[in-house]
Amino acid sequence: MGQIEWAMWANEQALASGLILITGGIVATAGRFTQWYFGAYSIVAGVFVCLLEYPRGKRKKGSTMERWGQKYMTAVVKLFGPFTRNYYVRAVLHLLLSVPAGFLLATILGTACLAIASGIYLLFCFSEWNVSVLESGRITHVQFLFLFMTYMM
Amino acid sequence: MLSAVTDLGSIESTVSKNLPVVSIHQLGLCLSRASASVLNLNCSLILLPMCRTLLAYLRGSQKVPSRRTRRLLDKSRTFHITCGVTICIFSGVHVAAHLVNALNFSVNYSEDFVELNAARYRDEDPRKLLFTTVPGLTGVCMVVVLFLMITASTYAIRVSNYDIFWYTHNLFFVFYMLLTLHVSGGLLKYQTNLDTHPPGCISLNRTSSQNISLPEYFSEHFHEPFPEGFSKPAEFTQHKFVKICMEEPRFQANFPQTWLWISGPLCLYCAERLYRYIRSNKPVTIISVISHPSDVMEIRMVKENFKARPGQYITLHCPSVSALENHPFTLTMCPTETKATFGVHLKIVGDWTERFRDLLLPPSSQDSEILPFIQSRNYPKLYIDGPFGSPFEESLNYEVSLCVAGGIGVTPFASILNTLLDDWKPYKLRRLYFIWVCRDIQSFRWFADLLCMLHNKFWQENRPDYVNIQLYLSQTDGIQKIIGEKYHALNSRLFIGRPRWKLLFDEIAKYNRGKTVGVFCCGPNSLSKTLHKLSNQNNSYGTRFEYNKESFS
Repeated sequence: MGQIEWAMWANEQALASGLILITGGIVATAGRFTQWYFGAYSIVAGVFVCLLEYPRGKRKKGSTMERWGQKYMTAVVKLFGPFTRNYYVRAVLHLLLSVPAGFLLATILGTACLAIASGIYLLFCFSEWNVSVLESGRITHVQFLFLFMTYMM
Repeated sequence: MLSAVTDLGSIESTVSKNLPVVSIHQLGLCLSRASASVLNLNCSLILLPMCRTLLAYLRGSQKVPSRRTRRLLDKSRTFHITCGVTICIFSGVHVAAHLVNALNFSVNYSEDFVELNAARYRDEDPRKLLFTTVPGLTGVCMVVVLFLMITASTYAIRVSNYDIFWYTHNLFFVFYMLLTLHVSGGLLKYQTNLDTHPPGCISLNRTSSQNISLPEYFSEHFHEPFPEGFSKPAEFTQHKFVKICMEEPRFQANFPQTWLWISGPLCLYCAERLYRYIRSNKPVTIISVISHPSDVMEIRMVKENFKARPGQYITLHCPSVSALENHPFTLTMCPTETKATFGVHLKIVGDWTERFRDLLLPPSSQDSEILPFIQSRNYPKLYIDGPFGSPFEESLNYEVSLCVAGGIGVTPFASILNTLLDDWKPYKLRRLYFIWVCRDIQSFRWFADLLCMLHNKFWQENRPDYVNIQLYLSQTDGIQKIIGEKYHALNSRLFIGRPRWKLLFDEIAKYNRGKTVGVFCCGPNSLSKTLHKLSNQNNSYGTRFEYNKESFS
């Protein structure tokens, strides 16, 4: 089990959650539910998540199947540098994006799915961290911060 | 699709019979019921292609004489995937429609017919409806389970990380349990006392204004033609004082149809899994382990009451290597009446096969082909499940067959060749074209002996055209001949470079005019696509090529 690359699955999940958010948002705004502006937010968030997650990340070993036309999106995503490259940031970003959609019934499923995707990204980060600590014997300052926080708790 | 349309039609007519239901929710109800009926059908059908033992039995039994029907069984995985995609799409429709329904239930709470409401009071927060009722909660859980299953079932994940796909797909059982609970909520009701309280009747202890408003509402919102037996609104306003209610309406929940739909296939699938578990509980006895060049290992074993047809495959499970993983391998040698030994050839690629090889062949002797006598025979326990059917079984049922193998893909054809070596007369096959493409010359040694024996046998029996062997070595650097004097027959049939498929097809068509040739391919996807395309092309000799496609993950 330890050799599973969770990031690929999290990527598929996040893409699907983006689509669910868009659908829920359309239902909410079209049906003019109370607080329908959450629906509008959900459409925007869904589109953003879909565009961010469209390029499939490179696997650690083995070949990666690229999605059709992903190179155009990759050029845009790369502009943001470490914010989009780092999976920790992505996990936290997805978690934050999913919260406002949870207030409306139509988009609550989108929240749940995006939160699960964020959880799987975190799982990947922790499994990566374990591997890298074991391999190199050194830890970076981000990892040190996490260790410190868990120790305090 | 058809079930959705017919159900939509029937729902519209039932809805128009029960006025109070209509006033609470209109389009949302129709859409959710229609998509539910599609989901019923698909959830029941999706389990059937996964009953692999049953399909293998159907493939081999005399009850399925037509080749076309057997070829349908080849498409079982594609059918399963189609049902899965349909479930995904219609679940989306169903959830969207129910979200609209939940809102309508709370906003249009009907005080007249309290039993029919799903909400407990007017303007109840729809989110509470979703999470505190049984159908709502089970529905949300089902969507989450479906989400996990579907995101892990994409082609990219199956190809790269089969484990994620396998472990999440086993959540289907949770999904079915939630589904049986989901429909037991009893939300949809029908009226039981239609004769004593017909729709639109006047109740004596109510004011007449309440009932008079109904026909206007009815004529405003319904423009479709009414079903027979129901009076038009013009007539109705004239006869509004005729019907008098004897008693209050009584409602009873509809019997959950879903239970009827899914119980059959679910029981069948569970029975099959139980049968497979009992059958595979006894370990096999490993007779010998042989190491072949190019990272291939052959295992020969025996098991009581094991019968298999050539072309079938088994799955190996070795708890000492991995407690949960099963890996499929085609049988290269099937048990016959005289010999109960059967065997598989495994190519060592990936961590499971590497660990398996290290357990069976100690690392010191892996390079040499001859195993030392003093090696202890402490083989690990090995369990097999199967045999399961595959399209390659059909190659013996064509008069002429073309079998193309790429590398280790020769294994299904090896069992066919072994069977022909045993006895070729009982089968319909009269000519076999066998083409084997490999990158490395040493790979041919896996079955060089078998091919030579077969070739000699047919020459002895004066049927030299029965098997036509062509070997191709696709990489041109290195040794270009199989070492050994007895392999002279094979060396004269060895070509360097890739085969030229169009010429081959033309040649086979010319020598087998007007016949149907079965084409079988076990190798890389690109090879399979090329052959499929060529098989579908017409030729001037009237020969039909039927391509039998095997689907791997």
